[in-house]
Amino acid sequence: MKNVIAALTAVAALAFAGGALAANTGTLSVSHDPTVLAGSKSTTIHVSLPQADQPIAAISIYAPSGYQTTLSQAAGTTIGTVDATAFSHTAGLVLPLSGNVVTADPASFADKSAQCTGSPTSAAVWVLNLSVAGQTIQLPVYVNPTAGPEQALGAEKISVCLPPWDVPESLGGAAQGAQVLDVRFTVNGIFTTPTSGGLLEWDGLFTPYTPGTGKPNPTGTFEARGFVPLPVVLGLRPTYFSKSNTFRLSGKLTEGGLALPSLTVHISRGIKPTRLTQQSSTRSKADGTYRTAGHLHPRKTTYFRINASMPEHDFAAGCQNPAPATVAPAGCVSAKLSAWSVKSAVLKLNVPAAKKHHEK
Amino acid sequence: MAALALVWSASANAATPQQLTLTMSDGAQLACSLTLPDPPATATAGVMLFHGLGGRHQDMEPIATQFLAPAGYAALACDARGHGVSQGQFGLDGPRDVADTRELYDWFATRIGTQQIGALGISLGGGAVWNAVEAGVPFKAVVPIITWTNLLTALAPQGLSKSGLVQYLAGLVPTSRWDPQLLAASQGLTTSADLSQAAALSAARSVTTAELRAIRTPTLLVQGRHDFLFDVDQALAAYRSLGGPKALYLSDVGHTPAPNPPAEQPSLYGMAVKWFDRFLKGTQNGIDRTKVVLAHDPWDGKTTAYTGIPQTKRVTVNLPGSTTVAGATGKAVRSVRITGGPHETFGDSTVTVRYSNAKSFDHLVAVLAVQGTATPISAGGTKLKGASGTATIRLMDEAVRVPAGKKLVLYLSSTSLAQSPSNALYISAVQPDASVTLGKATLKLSVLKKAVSRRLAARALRSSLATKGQTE
Repeated sequence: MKNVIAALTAVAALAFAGGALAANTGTLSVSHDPTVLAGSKSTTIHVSLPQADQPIAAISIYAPSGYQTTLSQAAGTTIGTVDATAFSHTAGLVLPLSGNVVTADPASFADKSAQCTGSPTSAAVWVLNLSVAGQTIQLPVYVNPTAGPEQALGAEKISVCLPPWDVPESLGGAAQGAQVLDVRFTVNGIFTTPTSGGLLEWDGLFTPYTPGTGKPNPTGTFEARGFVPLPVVLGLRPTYFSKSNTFRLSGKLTEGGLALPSLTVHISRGIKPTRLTQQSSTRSKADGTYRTAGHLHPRKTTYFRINASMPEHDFAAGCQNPAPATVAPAGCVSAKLSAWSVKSAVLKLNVPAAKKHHEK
Repeated sequence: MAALALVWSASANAATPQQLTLTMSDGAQLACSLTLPDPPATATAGVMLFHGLGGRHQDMEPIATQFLAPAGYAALACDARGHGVSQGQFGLDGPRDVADTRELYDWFATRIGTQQIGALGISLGGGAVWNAVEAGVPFKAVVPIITWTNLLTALAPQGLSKSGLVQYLAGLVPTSRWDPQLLAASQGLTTSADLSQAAALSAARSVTTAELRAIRTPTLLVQGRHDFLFDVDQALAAYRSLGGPKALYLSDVGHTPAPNPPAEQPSLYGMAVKWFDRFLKGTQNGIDRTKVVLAHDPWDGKTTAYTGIPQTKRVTVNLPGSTTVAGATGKAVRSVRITGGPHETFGDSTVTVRYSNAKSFDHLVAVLAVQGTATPISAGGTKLKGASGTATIRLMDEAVRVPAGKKLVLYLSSTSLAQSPSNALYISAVQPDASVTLGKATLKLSVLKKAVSRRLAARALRSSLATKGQTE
C-alpha cells in the first residue's frame, strides 16, 4: 500500500497546497481503570488533534506528582494497546490504526531520543505500533522523570515527536503524509494513582511546526490539560420499609470531591449478590445527591448496586492559572475531565421474614 | 491484500516462447512473445493472451506452453502499455490499448496465416478482451477471466469506493507510467468524494447491457466464486445479456480472498481449450451445450453443471440491538445462527440497518463472516444520508459455503478492518469524533437451493490445494 500511496503523492500535494490553517486546539485527556486512589490497573492517555490544526512537532505530557511509576519492564514487554486515527494526505483518506504498546530498550533509541527530548537516555521507551492494512508505523514514546523547573509541570514527562505531514517524506516528512488526528493508548501496570484525591492535573505541551517548513515553532507551543478526578464515589444507602414493603436508595455522587449533578445512575438488584440485573435508573440533583424508591418484589433480602459513567468532557475552569508564557506562549487552549465508568459496592438490604398467620 | 496468484505446474513442454518487440502505429514498442506449437506448421489457429494489472506477458506464457501449444494453437502475449518493458502509458484498457489489440491482431493473423484467432485475458486482460470485442476486433471466440463488465460498480459499489483494494491496485503500476487522466480520477475514486471522473473513465471501459446483447462472439466467462474485486454479478450481467454462444464457469480462481488451487488449473484451462477447439477449429466437442458450471470450494476436483443460472432461495434473519458506533475504530457486531444447512451463498444478499443520531458518520460498511473464520463471506458499503434513516447495503455476490450450525457474524463499522486487521477492502474511516447509533439490522441472504460444495477432510484438502510452482 505504501507504494500506492506514494504514487498518489503528486495529486495530494496539489490538493492540499496553500490551504489556510486555523488556530491550534488540541486536547488531552487521561483516565484510569479502576478509578481508585492508590491503585488502578491501567492508564489511558487520549490526545486529539483537529485536522485543521498546524502540523504538530512535539507533545510533552506531564504526569502530576503523587503517582508511583513502574518503568522496570523488560524490553519487548507488551504493556498495553493503542488505537489511533490518522489522515493520509497522500491518499486523502482517514485511516484507523491500532496495535500494541511495547517496551523497547532505551539504548536502541538513543539517537531518536536525543532528537526528540534533547537527551540520548530515557528512563523508558514505549513503542506505539500503529498498524493498518498490514503496514505498521512505529511511534516511540520517551518517558523520563522531570528535573529542575520542569518539575513544576509534573513528576514524569512523556514525550512524543511527530514528523511533519506537510513536508515530503524525502525531506523528513511523515510517511504517507500521515497527520495524526487522534491517539488513545492504554498502558497497564505503569502508573499507581496517588493516595490523596482531588482533581489531578496532567499537563500537555504541544509544539507545532511552522507550516511547510518542517521546522518546530516554539513560540506556537500551547497547553492542553487533562484532569483526573479521584476518587469517583457513588454513595449508596438502601433502606427498607416493612410496612409498605418498599425500599429507598439514596446517596451522593462525587468525582474528585466535586458533586456530580444531573448524572444518570443505573440501579441493579437481585436476591443473589452475584446475579444482579439492571432494573431502573434515576438522576442526581444539583448537589450530587439522589434518592429513589420502589416496591420490593419478591419480598426477600435483596442486593443492590448502582453504576454510572461519564464521557470525556470539557472542564470550563480547567485553564485557570495557565503555564507561564515562557513555557506555553500560545496559552492554554483546552481542559478535559476524564471519562470513567464506576460501579458501587454491592449492598445487602435485609428483609425480615414475613410473620406467619396460623388459623385456629 | 493478496493479489491474484496463478499457480502453474512446472511440467516440461516442447513449445518455447520467442521473445520479440512489436512497434505500434504511434511508435510505441511492445514487448511480446510468440509461442508456436511443435511443429509450428501444425498451428491452424491462434489465441491472443492478455495479462493482469501489474503483470507482464511472461505471466501468460505457461498458458501458451502448457495448454494452448499442445492443443495446436499459436499464442501471442504482450506487455500492456505501462507494463513490463513495453513503452507507452498505462491506460486501463483505454482506446489506445484497443488500438494496440487491433494492430497486434493484424500482425498475429499475418504471422500465423489465419484469422481463426481467439482471445483470453485475466483480470485487466479480461477487460482488454471485452473492450476489443466491443470495438469490433474480429476474435472468433473469447475467454474473459475474473474481470469486470462494469468497472465503476466493481470498484465503488453503491458509490462507496473499495478504498483499500483500489489503493492496492493503483500501486501495481508506478504513477510515472499512468495516463494522466487516470491519475486525475484516482483520488476522487479512492476517497469516494468525486466519482465523476472515474465514472467517465469506467463508461469508456465497460460493456453495457445493450453492447453485450450485440456481441455475437462465442464467450466463455470465467469468474471467481469468492472474489472481492470482481464478484459473480460482474459475469452474470454478461451471461444474461450476451447475444452469442456463451457459457459461465465459476471458479475457485480469483482475486483476494480466492483460494486459487493449482489443482483446478487443468479443469479451467482445459475448458478454455475446448471452447477454442469448438469455435476456432470447429470441433464438435459438445462444449457449446455447457451453460453454467460451478467449481466446488474447496476444490475437490469436481464441478456442478447447471442448465442456467443456479436457482436460489432467500433466508431472512433479524439481528436486533442498539449500538452507538463512535470514531474510526468503533463497530457493532451482531451474530445469528441460520437454521438448516449447509448453505452456499449465491446471488444478491443485502443488509438493512436502521440508524439514528449520525454525526459526521457519513458511510457504513458491512462485513459478513462465518463465526471463527478469518475470511469473510462478503462485504459491502454505502453512504449514509441524513442523521437518521435506513441504510441498505448490497453485499458482493460471492459463492461461499456456510457450514450447517455455524453462526454468521455481521460487522458494521466505517471500515472493513473492524472484522479483521487484514481485511483491507474498505479502509476509509470516519473522523474520530463521528458517531452513529445502529438499530435493528436485517440480513437477507441469497443461497443456492441446494449447496453443492462439501467440507473436505484435512488430507483431501491438502491434496487438492497442492502447489508445485507459483507465479504472480
